[in-house]
Amino acid sequence: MPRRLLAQLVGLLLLCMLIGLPSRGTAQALDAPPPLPNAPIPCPPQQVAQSANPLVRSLSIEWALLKQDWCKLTRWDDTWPRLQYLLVDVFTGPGLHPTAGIVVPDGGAAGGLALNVDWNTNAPTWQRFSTSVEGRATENGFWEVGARLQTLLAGYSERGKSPQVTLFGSYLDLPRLPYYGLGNGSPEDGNKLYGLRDSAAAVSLDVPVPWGFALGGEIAGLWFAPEVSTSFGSVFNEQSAPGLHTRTAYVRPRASVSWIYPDRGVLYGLSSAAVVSYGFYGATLGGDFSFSRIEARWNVGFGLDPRFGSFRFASRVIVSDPRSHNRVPFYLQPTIGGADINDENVLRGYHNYRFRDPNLVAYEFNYERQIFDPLGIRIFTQYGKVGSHASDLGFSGLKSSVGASLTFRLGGAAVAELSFGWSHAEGVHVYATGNTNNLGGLTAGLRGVF
Amino acid sequence: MSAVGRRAVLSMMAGGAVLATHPAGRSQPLVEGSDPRIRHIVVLMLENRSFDHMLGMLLPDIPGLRGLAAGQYVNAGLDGARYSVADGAKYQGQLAVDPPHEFEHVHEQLAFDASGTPTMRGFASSYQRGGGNPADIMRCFRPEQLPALTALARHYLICDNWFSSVPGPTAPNRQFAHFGTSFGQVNPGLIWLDRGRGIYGRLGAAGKQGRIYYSRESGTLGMTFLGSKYFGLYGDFVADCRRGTLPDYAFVEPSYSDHADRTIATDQHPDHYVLAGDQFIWDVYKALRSNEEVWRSSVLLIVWDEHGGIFDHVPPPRLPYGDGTAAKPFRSAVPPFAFDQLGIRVGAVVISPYVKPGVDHTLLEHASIPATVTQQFIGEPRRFAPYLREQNANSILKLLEPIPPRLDWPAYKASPRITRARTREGPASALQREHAEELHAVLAHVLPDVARGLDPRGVRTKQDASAFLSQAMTALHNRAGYA
Repeated sequence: MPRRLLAQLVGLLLLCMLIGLPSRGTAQALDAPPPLPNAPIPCPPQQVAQSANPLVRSLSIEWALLKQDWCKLTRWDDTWPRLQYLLVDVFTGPGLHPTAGIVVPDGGAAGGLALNVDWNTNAPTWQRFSTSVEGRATENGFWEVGARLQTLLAGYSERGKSPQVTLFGSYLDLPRLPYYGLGNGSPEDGNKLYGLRDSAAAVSLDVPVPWGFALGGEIAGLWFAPEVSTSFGSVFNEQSAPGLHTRTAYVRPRASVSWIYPDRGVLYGLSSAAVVSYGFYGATLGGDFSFSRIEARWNVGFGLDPRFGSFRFASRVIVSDPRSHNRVPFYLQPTIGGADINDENVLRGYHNYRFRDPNLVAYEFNYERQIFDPLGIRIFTQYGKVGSHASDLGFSGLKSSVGASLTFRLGGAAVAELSFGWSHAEGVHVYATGNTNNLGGLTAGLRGVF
Repeated sequence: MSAVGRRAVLSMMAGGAVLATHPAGRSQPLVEGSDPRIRHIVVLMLENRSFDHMLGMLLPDIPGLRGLAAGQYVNAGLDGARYSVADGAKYQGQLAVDPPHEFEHVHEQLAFDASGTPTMRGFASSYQRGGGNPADIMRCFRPEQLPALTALARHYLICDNWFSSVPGPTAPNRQFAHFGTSFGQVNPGLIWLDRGRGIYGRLGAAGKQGRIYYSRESGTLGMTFLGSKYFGLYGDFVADCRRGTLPDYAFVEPSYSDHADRTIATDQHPDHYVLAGDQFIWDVYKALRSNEEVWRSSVLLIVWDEHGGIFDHVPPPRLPYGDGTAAKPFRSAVPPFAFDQLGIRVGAVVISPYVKPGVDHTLLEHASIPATVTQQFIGEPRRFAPYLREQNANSILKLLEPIPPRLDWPAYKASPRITRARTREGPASALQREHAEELHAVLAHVLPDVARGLDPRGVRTKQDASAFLSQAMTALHNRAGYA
């Protein structure tokens, strides 16, 4: 076949190039290398050049893997398994990989590239680190780039977890985000679009401690540049959209305490997780926009046999406390309704980013059971509201949404979900969500920044 | 004693005790050939380490062990350079380039001679070809580096004749552990549709339960596509042990990757932190011991799925049978393989109150896992296992002794937290460098060819010094006829 011949020629050429690189040997030459057995195997092992440079090493090994996968795909038995191996090597592991996802809700589907490299891998464990650099963009003009450096301090471990240091940086360009105004009474048809450029650089340390607790600390630099159109400015002003004309920069120290029970995850029986964080947003640019924020989450689950289902309660509270004469810029106020900027779904029967204010409370009760494996059904009811003051977050006047999801379950856990949320005020909305925690053990390679 | 006679004795001696201690046992009909004392079989399968690498250096401690000593075996690199077996395996950082272990690589590592017998001389060249340092593929852990594994291996039973099922990578070998076969493939894909439910489905059909407990992500899931009821998280395993609700068969999976939630990989796959996996081994053992009734009725097997490209000195045997059925054998045409060649040897430790400390040389492979489960809970594998390899595989039930249950604990220096080994890190002392120079001078006189391949000026760290001295002393001992 011409294609096979071409692949062989290219492979031979590359093999010759690689073999031409000198190999290192410090010991005396005694024996000849062991001969390969008489019956040759199609697609014999390839020569990969040794390199002290992790980037070169990652890319050369990945290239050798892909060549080998392609050779096997075309020459070995059983095309389908070989194709799967090729796809696994294309999308996972160290090296360069295509990525997919979204930038933010309402931004459209995104695609991009991620480069994952492990550095200093011959050093003691506390000096090893991994980096990911990723860029992705949508056809709607949304795009983001980011980089992350992480190291697990494997010299210390508490119940299977180690301290982790993370350096993170990102830049997002979000040209068209909807803004409905502040408060729970903002009109559905009153939204205007605004743009936001968002940059962040942070270093964080997370330390597991006994009894399921973990302590976290972070210091971050944040920069925000809103862009509002004339029509946006004709509807909203500094009172109804604080900071709409103001670029801001912050230094944000943040501390957190989290707790999980049991400290090893369970599918069955009672489980619970909670996290409380406190962050101070000190404005260094843009004027009087300093504030502190406390965020708390508490989830409780009870899992029965998959045939009988599992129950879950989730709650979340955000309280923002501006310094005197300061305000919280509208683009830093949390939202409920549909999905928020972090793609978290609360009140799925409403539009994305629907309600916004400095304070927020949200609750969800859901029940999930299998229809027939791997499909399950989840029914949920969600409540929530926003408030300009913490005292507004009582139980009165909560907005509600109910709905059902078709779930795709792997290993007893839902990994993808198609939701139909309904609210009396805004009808039916459809959301697709997912996580990669249990995609056949591939998570390790599906590593990107976002 | 014949197998039947032995089982009869076991039944007589242990049956009464079982009925006395397990009320539920009274209503459980015994499967012929099963051990009436055993109600739970637990398997912890780790990743990609060979027998010699993990357990081989226990040789002086365990008489009769098919282990090794530094310098006892040699592989040649691509350029003919000579690389001896040495200690000094590191927890992490030594195998940053994942040693190749696909079918074609293992073929090279086995290095068949003209008669088709594996010589085990292709590991160094294979790793070098794959971009790694060939010396590192020959390194083994010293027993004290792996406190949990060593303590359990000394206290219970090592199987030093356990081989991976296929001279190939993870997937077909784990397939053998779950299905007793890899369905004729040496390097299968991830999702297995229309392949049945393996040992788990067989157990279900017999009114028994098998469950896979995983740590955040399951490697088994992608190979078996089993339904949700067959899965639990590792926390469920711990709770089930404590509550006494452990299923008949439990397969435990370690964590396969370092996660963003700070979870550290415990699977021991190169280049994950091996000591974390060692601690996980102890966690699993401790969970089983958290309920004495569970412990008294359990067998725990710790085993690695394949050798991961790392050296082992024992040539894997060929089997007088292949896989599939007699009428329809499983074969791979390209590459040619008839499933009658076992893969490289891996570590295996059988832990139970009914084993005596020591070593057993029974030929075992991963098909022995479903064969054992079948034998214990369903019936004779020759009758109930679907394919040849499992039908013919030896069971670990045969390794259990007619003894009172052992309730003693291994001598494990409990370290609640992982601590890094410090002794071999840091720069070499002046004395060590001087010693290396002196030894090199002796070598230059006695074995000039060996001396030319060793450079004492390259000794900069304690690790370097240890490796240098090991190589030099090995060569001198060889010359003196000690090895």
